[in-house]
Amino acid sequence: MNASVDTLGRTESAICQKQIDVLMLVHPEINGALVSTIDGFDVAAALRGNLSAAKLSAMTSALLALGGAVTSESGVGECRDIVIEASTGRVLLMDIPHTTRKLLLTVLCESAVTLGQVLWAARRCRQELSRRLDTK
Amino acid sequence: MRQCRRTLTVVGLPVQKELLVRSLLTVVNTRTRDLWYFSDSIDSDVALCDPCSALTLVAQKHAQRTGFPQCVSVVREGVMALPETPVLSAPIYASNFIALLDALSSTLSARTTSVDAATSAPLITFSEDKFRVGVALHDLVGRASRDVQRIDANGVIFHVIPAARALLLRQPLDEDALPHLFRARDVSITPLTEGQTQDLFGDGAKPQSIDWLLWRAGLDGPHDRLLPTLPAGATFALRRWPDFGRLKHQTFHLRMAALLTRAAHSIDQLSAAVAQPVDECRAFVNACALSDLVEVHQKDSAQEPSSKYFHQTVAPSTNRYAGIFRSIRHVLGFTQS
Amino acid sequence: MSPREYKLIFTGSMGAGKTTAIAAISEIPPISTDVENTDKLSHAKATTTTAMDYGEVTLPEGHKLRLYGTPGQVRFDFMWKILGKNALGVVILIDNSRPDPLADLREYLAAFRSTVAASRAVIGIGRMDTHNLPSIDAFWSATTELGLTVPIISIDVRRRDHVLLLLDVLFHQIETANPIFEDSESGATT
Repeated sequence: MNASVDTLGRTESAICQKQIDVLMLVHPEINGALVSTIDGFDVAAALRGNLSAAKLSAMTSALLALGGAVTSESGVGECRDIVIEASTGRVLLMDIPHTTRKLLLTVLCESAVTLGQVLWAARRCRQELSRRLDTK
Repeated sequence: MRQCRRTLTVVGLPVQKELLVRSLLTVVNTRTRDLWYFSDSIDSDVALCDPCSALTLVAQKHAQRTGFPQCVSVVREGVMALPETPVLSAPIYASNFIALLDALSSTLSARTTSVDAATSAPLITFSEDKFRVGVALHDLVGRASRDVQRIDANGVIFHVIPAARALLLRQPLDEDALPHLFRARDVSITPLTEGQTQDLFGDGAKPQSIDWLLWRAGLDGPHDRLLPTLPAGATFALRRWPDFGRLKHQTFHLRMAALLTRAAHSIDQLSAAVAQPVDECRAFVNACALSDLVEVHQKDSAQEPSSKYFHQTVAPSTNRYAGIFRSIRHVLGFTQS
Repeated sequence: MSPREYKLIFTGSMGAGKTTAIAAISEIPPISTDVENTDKLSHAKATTTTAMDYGEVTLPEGHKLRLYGTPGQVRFDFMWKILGKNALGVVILIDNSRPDPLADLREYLAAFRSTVAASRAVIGIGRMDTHNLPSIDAFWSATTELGLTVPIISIDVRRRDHVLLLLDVLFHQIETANPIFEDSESGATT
């Protein structure tokens, strides 16, 4: 099926799903991942339990948009990543650079893992996604 | 023979029969010899009467003095008609109605008006009513006729499509002319022919909602009294807020609306609650009434004024909202009332 | 008296003019979290608010009036709850050119029920000049069916005087319904 210009087609969703599946396989400390659109629609998800991809997509888009407002107001450029440290886990939000449309990557992991490690893994996934979606 | 315009009223008939006659007239008009229009005035050409009603006596006395109206008895089988009057049997059928009207056209003399003449003979007249234009427009819109009606009041001319609640204007009504319009002593309401309607639209007349004009008829009409339909001693409530986005208003009108949508007030109570003269309160209630927003409640002299907590003399320290809203209004540059 | 902050919420369907309304009265250029709208099938608008719009007005004695615009779409309803807390009042803006404006209204009345039920709300219907149905009476019936009484007026949010009218109606409604202010009531924080 051909992807339309304005919406993510099945091909692109499949690419995103594959990448986050690989991420979770290679890094078992990561226990959830999500790719979503900038305005809050889910594209691909690998989430445990009752977590709703739709809800999380909406929330992460709101958070990143607010992050963008803060960085813009503070004069520090564009918002790239947001890290939320919680009592029993961590949430990383980052944008996926793309020539035509912006996507968001959300990664959930346990607190025991070092931040550096999971950031590295998430950024690699983001890079790979960006490369594959661009060359399509 | 030239087609004439004739008027017909009802005297003493029940509401359902009156409604039937009104709608029958609009239907049969293309089939009668003359053009017939319903009128509220006893000064009509013809009056359909209930012989048993006391009001019929009044109509007959008027006819003896002035020659009009020609009384017609509307009777069921077995009921006695008025002496020497034409009879219309009930239930009323269109064919009988048409036959009666054509027969009356032959006998009615002298007081005829040619339909071709540019006439301003009033169709609706009021003797003491100072709200002629407002009430006439309100009632006209209420009857919801689909015909375009030409209104002439004090030389101010415009057109209305009652069923669409629409005003048809070739150019905007002059703001300065409105008070003059609302104080007109006579209002002439004339239905347009098909040809005249086409000409009107051909001249670029654009329809717009008539709501603002009804509102202004109340707001800018006489302030010294309430509309005839509003009892002087009653309390009034609003069934909803007026659409202030489209209606001319001042800030104290918002306060009046806020109060009257919460509880019924008499004019005096409203005046005290908003600290405005009773004239302004009457004008507001009249405007709301002409806009079909008013609910009339019974006067209850034992009832305390509804706004006792909101009198202007409440100390500022106990009404923090007054302070903060005053600040916000001032900073944002609201128009003061 | 220490400075207090008051919060007004602007909510309503996408494209109804929340951002425009805030811009009309905010003393700062509004902060917006508008992003590209990827769902053009549902709405032709180029952008959509995901988190909130923010504007403010400085009042005498250091008090502040904060203006928050919510996202319009229901998937961001968690923002409605967050933003709606302790609001002085809520302005609900409806776009009458949408397929089912009454359904839109019911959504926002439900989302902000407690604020609306406390008579701290006003409804502004936009685009009635070109789309006159549903009528004001129909909207009124929709609110009274839910046991609510809310002033409803037709407006054009591009006009500053109309935005001020919405606020003026809201304030009169709040003043009349809540004549005595108590510190524990919503609307102000020190």
